Amino acid sequence: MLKLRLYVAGGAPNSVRAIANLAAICKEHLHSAFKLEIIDVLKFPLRALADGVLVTPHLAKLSPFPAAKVVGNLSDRASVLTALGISE
Amino acid sequence: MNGRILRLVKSGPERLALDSGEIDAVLDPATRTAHLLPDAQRALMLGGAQPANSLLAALPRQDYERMRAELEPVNLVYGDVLYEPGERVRHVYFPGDAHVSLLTVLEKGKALEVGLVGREGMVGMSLALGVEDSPVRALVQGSGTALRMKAAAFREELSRCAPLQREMYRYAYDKLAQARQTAACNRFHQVEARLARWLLMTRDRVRSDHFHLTHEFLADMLGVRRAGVTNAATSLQREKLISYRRGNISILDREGLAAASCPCYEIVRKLAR
Repeated sequence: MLKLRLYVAGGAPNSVRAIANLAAICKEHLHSAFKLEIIDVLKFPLRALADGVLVTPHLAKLSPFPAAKVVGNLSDRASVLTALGISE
Repeated sequence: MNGRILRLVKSGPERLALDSGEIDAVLDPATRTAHLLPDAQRALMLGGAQPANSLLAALPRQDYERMRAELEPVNLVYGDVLYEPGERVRHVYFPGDAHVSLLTVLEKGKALEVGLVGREGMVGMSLALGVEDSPVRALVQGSGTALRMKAAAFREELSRCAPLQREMYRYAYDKLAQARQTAACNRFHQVEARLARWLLMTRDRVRSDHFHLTHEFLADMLGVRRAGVTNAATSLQREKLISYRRGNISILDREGLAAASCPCYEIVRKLAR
């Protein structure tokens, strides 16, 4: 099971875009075989800092090994798929 | 956003994403807070998808999106004067939760309110009708947020955006109808009924039963002496329709207050959407 965590800044434009882009990728490639947690850094900055997050949007792949991350609004689909270990 | 925050992002994919405008916020370990970048902050202040102001909300999405670049969020503070009569209109204002009173100023500082603008409207209508100077004093009566637009940008937008023109004409018609009604109302209706009407109009614009208005202000609104306001307010209080203490007004019984108001309240309310 793929475990993902997406750090966003409330309803800011890039954050909204990142959620939409990720949702589309998950729908197309993962069906229901994933767990996604979304963390709003405006509400929980300490949580993000503890996880080593520097900017948002930030997508973290937690498991399976190896861990990976993508920063930005996730509009570059290919790099998101690579980071998640999904082959097109 | 200060330079120190941006310098936190030195290199790597974070820097690349920042430079290509894909970042909303930077986390600062020193202050343990998230700092929004200016574009993100602006977007959040503008209220995301749906603007608080009804004129802007009535525009097609793509027109509003285009206008957003020219809309600047501002805080309007009670007592601010946006224009004096005869002064050049430099900005138009689309109130969110602020509301602004329009006053016609006569000799010796006498003033009479001729319009009230809240989230349903716009301040600076003269510009939409091709007149560059304000005919009225625009006085902020309820502190709150608004979006403003420079006069030149507004004129340009108006010249190319048919939906904006339609909204402006419709709103101008509403204001004209309201002024006609108010002219008759001021001449024929009792102060108490007019005060009731005016409190209801304020309530509709601030969308709250509680607001702050000084005696002096109410006297200007109604074109009467302060003693006249005191009598009218006392009478509404006695009927338990409002409470009024040191300028803090609470509407206790909206239905009762509507019954105490002159019919002008309902007539004008039906004209405006």
